Amino acid sequence: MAEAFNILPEEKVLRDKAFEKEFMHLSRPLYNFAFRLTFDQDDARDLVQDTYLKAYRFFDSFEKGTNAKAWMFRILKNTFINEYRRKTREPNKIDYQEVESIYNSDSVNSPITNDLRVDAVKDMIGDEVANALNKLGVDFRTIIILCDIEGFTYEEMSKILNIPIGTVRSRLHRARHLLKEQLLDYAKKMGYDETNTEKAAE
Amino acid sequence: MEVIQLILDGEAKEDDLAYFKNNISCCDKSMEHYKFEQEVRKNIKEKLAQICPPDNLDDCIREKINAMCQDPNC
Repeated sequence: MAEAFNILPEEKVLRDKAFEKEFMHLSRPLYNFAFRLTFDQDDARDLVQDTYLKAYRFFDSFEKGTNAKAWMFRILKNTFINEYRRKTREPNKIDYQEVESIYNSDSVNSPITNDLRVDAVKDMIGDEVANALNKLGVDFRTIIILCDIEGFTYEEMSKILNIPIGTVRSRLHRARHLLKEQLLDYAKKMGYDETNTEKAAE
Repeated sequence: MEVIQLILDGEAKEDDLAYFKNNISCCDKSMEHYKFEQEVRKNIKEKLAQICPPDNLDDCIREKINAMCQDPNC
């Protein structure tokens, strides 16, 4: 990225100081988010760097005192969609349109708890959870990362993703249901299913 | 189910909380579902450990910003 950017040296000193204070402490969660989107360390690093360059260029449009983390996550998400999504090496994922049709039915509201027990979830290791998450389509994966890992509110997610709060709620609901289905597959492999309650009770 | 999601996400309103408190104590299924949802969230947060960025990431960002500002085409 070598786009022209005009700034006087004296302005740059002040800009750098303010920019450093507002945004540089966010590089770690931004990298984590970028890696969860791209599945590649180099792409994640490039995506974070591009995000920071854009933030620096458009720093004047950031309202001081507002949510810097949400602003940066929004830039990163948009950069990913516009510039990285096509080349991302995603594992097999669930197609968004496919699940849309499934989850327009009431089946999404049926509890999966009966099949997937608390004990099974507790016993899962990080890789299993990460793999389950990675199998979700990017829209579902993103909303779980923003909510459950980064702790954004529905309102913040609405701004980051540029969707209404109602859509945040429904997408999150669907994403969690899909994630639980993936976890259920792992649980069954571990022997936690309805026909093997002894292990679950151990 | 939706009320449980809202409560665990910290997005429940007073009405939702009242509804939850009135129903959770007399409904084993709701309690089981609540605990399960709580465990899934805890699991995601704890087990998806933060991935460490490269050590020099912040320095690289600063260098790229400086390079952008010193671009002779500016």
